Amino acid sequence: MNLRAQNPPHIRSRESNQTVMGDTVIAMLPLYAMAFYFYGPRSLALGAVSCLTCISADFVCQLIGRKVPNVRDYSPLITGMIIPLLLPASTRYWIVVAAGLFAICVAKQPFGGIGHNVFNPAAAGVAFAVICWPRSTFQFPVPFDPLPVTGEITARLVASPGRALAMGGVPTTDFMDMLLGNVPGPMGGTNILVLLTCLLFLAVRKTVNLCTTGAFLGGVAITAAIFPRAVMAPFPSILYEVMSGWVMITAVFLINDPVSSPKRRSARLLYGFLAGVVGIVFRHLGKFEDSLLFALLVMNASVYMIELWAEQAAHAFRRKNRELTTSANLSAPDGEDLGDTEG
Amino acid sequence: MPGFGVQGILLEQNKEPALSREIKKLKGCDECEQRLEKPVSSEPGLLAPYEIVMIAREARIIDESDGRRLWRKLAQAARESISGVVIDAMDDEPYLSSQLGPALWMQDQLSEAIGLVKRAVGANKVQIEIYKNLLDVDIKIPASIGGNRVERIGGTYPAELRARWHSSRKNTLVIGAGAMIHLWRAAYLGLVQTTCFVTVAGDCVANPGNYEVPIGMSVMRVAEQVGLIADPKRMVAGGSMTGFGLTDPERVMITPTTRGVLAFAQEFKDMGYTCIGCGRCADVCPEGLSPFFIYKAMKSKRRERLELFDADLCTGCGTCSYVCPAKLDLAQIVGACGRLVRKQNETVPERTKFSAKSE
Amino acid sequence: MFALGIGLPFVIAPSVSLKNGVAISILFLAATLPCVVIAAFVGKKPPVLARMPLYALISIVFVTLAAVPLGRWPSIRADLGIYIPLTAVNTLMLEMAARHPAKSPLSALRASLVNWAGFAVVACSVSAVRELLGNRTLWEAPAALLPIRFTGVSLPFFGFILLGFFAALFRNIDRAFKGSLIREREMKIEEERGA
Repeated sequence: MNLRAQNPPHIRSRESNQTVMGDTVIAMLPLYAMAFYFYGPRSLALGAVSCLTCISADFVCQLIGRKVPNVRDYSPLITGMIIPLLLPASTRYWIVVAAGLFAICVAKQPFGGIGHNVFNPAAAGVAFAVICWPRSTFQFPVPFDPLPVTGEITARLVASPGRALAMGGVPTTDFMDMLLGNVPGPMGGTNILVLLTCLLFLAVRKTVNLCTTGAFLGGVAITAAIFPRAVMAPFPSILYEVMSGWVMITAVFLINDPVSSPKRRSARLLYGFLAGVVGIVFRHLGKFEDSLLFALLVMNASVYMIELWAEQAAHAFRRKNRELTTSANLSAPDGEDLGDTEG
Repeated sequence: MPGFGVQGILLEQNKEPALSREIKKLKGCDECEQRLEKPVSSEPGLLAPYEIVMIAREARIIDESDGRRLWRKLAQAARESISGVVIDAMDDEPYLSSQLGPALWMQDQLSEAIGLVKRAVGANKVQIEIYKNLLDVDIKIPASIGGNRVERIGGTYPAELRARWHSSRKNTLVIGAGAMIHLWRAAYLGLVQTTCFVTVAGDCVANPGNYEVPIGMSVMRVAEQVGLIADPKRMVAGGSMTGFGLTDPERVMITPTTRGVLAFAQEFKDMGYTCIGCGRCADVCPEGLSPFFIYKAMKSKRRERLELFDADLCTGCGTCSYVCPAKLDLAQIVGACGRLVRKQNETVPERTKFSAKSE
Repeated sequence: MFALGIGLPFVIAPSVSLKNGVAISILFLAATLPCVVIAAFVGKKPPVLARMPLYALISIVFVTLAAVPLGRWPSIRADLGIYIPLTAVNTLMLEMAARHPAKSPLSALRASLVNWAGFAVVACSVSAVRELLGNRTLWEAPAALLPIRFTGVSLPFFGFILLGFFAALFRNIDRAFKGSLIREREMKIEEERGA
């Protein structure tokens, strides 16, 4: 009999890294399906190019760092799938490649790779693309306009509702259109209904934490209600801010990235809320039409402090709890039985 | 209360078919039977309290829930005034039912033993605690056993630790159901405790069930007598969440606190997963600790903030390792950190199942 | 020899093109070299409180002298901007000067030259890369390495990132170099043992 002694517990949950990351990949497939429906095969081509870039960059970087690449680690695939969803469908291929390379080679691997990266790689990659090519990343094709898979884009490129908000005006798009995704915008960011369905799926599978998403949307809503970017009532302001730009896709995918977000529930609530508030503040003050990703990167940098505060609070709470329980306990058992020989 | 809010995990109990089978004696139990020197009293129900304690002492009964001798517990409880007695028939770890089985199958003996204990310590409130969570629809728990109320404890694992915490605040005596049966045998049949109740289960076991096993028999012999349908890859002595993995079952003996022998055919392969920082461990810890930070601190050997993480408060329930998707051995690492911290400051006593205050 | 100059802001902010990088290196040389050499001559003679202002003054004089020819390239002067006077009072120079109060001038000269060489290499490499990627030129002549232009590299954040990568690269080279030296030494010891 060839027995292996393993450490307790001897039963484990059925979840594994593979299933957790696999769930995220599955949740992004409906977004690609909708992008294909609106913008044609170019969206799928962009996704394929991005995934290929990220996976090969990750592979090469791990070899340079003398680590064995693990086939079951889907994290570069996830980064590769998210990047085109944050960009317009008319993005040129090299922008996506540059964003992917920046995401993996600058934002992820130098910090230690999977499990250790401080910044969300997809957010960092797209932020780099926004800085380098600010006009291209905010010019969107109109849904249902045919886009060529290769070659120059000759389709009409328009501004998203976010541009109107950035200029201080009220967008003229219908809420129903915004819910269904029939607006020009980032490839994966406009389909609000589909995003909500993905959120539900991921929440049931426990891949995302609803408290972080809820706190983020709460922060966005409160700040948008108090400080609308245009002259309008609080409720429409909330709806426009939430449904334009990257807010919903951040709420479902980016803010719940396990590595770059805090671990404790209380810390996650604070992080999500602050990310929402800082995101809207950046939208007011920033020169791009949507600076939410920069806000996310800033919050990623402050995760260390938030976690420290949360641990200190938890430590104080536990010690106080301990004091109360030990004072209520009775005298210790007398003698020591297990070594007793007198029976 | 320990932890923040209700934390822990809901586990599938897998107690069937072991629980619905009668408790059988293994070969060897009859041979090692020992009688008490004093003759059996004709009216055991009218024994004086000190006599009951002496019988428990001579029968060398050990309580399987915390490993302490029964007579000492009874004597101490009789000295201090206690508000009630709790019979621990909770088996909150999956596969185990070595306390629940005797409680359900030997109800008359249990109720008579309860009478003895009531007289011994002078208490009149007794309740029997049994664990049943939402997922167990097959197990039928009676509302009372011999006139004593059965308290159904629900909730997530680890329920036993939580219940012990509550009972320690209420000044009660806790005795395991198996020890009660042995006490009955000592008082009514004049037998010394030479056997104990063990659940033998797992997917390699031919007839999973609760068995009465002579103390000191090797785990291998127990498994052989019960029957193995395949060569197990993993054998465990103890519970599924807190037991010891064995490599040499011939040399490991059954003790009164070994509640189970499990044999599994599946082994855990090392898939090369690293921590992805999902935070599930911190979400489920019943004590409110963060195994993630403790893991990081121990792996990177940065020890500045170890005291902040309170690793010495760990109760060893194993919930963190259970939920970890990267299949890390978090419970071990937190335990090692706890020992490190405890060595540095000898103030906080260890708090596990076997030393939880239960008086 | 390739000790990296740690004057971070000077390396990152103005070094957007190779010409800028060369200019800032020259200014750094003018700031550091005379100051350190004079500090070696002067030694502990001036009172402690007067030393720092004295070195700063010397450095300012020489930087002003070196900055005069910059009038011919107003674009570079505009790019370097505030870093010209800042180079005169940078702490790296002050620290080096304070370290050599009474050592021989030759060793002081050598130390400051070596330090400057490191700084110059880093400044020029970073600025060359940034010019190549950001402008697709080198020394203002077209040098298209890639078909696209990354305009974001002219921002300071990319300078920090590049610096980090260069630091890692030089550390690896250093380690490999030292490692090979250690290996040679070990092999020699083994040979001697075997012989």
